[in-house]
Amino acid sequence: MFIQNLKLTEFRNLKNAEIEFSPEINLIVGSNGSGKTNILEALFYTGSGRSFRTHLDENLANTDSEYFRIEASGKMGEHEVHVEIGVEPGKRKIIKVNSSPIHKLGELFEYFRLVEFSPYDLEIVIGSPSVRRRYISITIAQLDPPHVAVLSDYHKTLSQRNALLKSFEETPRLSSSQETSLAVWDEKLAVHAVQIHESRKSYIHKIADIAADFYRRISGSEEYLKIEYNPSPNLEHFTAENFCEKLASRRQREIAMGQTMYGPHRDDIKFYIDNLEAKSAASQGQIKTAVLSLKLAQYEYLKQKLERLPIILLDEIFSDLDKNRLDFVMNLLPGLGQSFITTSKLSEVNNLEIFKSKFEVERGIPRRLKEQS
Amino acid sequence: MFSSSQSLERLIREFSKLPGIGRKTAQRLAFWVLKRDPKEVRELADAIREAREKVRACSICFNITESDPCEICRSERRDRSAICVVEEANDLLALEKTGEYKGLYHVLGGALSPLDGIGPEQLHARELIERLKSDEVKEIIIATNPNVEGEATAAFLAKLIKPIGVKVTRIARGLPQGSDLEYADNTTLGQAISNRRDY
Ligand SMILES: [Zn+2]
Repeated sequence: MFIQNLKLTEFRNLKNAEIEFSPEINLIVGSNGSGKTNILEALFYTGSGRSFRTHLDENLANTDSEYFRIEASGKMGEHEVHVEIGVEPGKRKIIKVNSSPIHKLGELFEYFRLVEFSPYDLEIVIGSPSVRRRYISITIAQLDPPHVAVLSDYHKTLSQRNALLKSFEETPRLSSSQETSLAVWDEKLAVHAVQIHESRKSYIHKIADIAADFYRRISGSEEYLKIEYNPSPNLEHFTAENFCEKLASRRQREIAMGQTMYGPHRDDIKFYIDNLEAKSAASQGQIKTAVLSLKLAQYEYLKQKLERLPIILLDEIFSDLDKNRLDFVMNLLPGLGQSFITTSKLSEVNNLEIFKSKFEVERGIPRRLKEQS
Repeated sequence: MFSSSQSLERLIREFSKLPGIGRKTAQRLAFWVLKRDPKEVRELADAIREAREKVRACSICFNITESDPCEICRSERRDRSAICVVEEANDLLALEKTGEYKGLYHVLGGALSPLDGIGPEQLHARELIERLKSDEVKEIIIATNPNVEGEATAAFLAKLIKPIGVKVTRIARGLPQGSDLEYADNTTLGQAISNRRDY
């Protein structure tokens, strides 16, 4: 699959831009703040309705604008795909695919699948658990679009259950009707929790070995990267019954806090390098390699499952990666599908000949660079 | 906004209390009223008053009606062994339009939603249980919306009704997920009710 044409209106500093891309390797040159990363962000947004830099849509509109729009057209196999996505004044998100409106975000995940690697991704290892949960949610949705609806039902059920717990705060003993209400929300939460748990467990299990293999190849060392799912609650058998039992064991505390103490909203993922937790013990270089391995494993697994090449977005890899890691990625590139790579300086790039299209972005205005011999 | 007439200001204030109507739309509606023929405006006012005074909830099923009990509850031709439970009166209208269902109804007046302060006491759930005390009723068909709140309400009712020994069924999941009954088309809704399953 590839994206041929991208049109941006009031998106960050790109007020009005249109770009024609190559289905192979694209290079985007621009200084800091020029808007080059915004182009990658817009491409990523057309596949997931999410940014990899912020979880707030209002940050994506130009500072002078109350709305933004992104249009991307390309191909998935034989099929032409045209995605239109944006936020209207009043914060309403509008999504259209081939001119038909989409009402559920999950359906958008059926189209462009993009894997991104940028300096922001170090947060996946060193940031808070919420960053990791957000990452894995988007990643699983790319493999299994109905996962978006499961997550949404889980979070709605969770808010309802928390509101119910809060309403019990001053109740010393629950009436039988209150017991029944709580049991209903417990059971509904458990059903969605089990689904999310199984998807996360199976995904991490499937990519852990692929990522460990990439890590060894990139670092050229015998260091072992271990990625581990830390579910909440940690149960030997994660069934709806056991989940409800766990909730019941903390009922008094839950009512006092007005909060659900267990569930996928409290999951985490841990990264270990040679059995030391990367978050606290690894060097910056090791963390970068770990994240790069995670992303390449994601790409690899997505490719196998879709039987199509996903699109890859690489932000600032020339300045961000050392020579060994960079060489590894550059050697892989020609075998990957469509890719987009940004750089601050053209002089950082050695093998310019592999790039089929080159663009320069200056103050939010992209233009194609002429072919040089 | 400066307003030169107190009665105009009052009208705008009343309009802006309507659901989904902001101050701006309320002003537009008020000026529209001022431009109408007085007779036409009186008809509108009468229609509002009459509807509010004559239409009420049926004391048995909470359907909206002008006569109590409602026509469905009084009818000799309805199957009195089945009660279909819906969230709102417009869901009942949608099901009636399919012509597929011949039993009775019960309108809950919403769905469980602790976030909005809606628990079982805020719904007509107790009244439904009361209706089961006569031996006439053999089946409760739960037709709440297929979203998080509607599913929770269905589960809650099933927990309450099953111990009484009345059969509980749920309309089929042919309906698009997360949608409201009132937007489902006639055929889908008709199939959903005939293909209901044991809860
Ligand atoms: Zn009635």
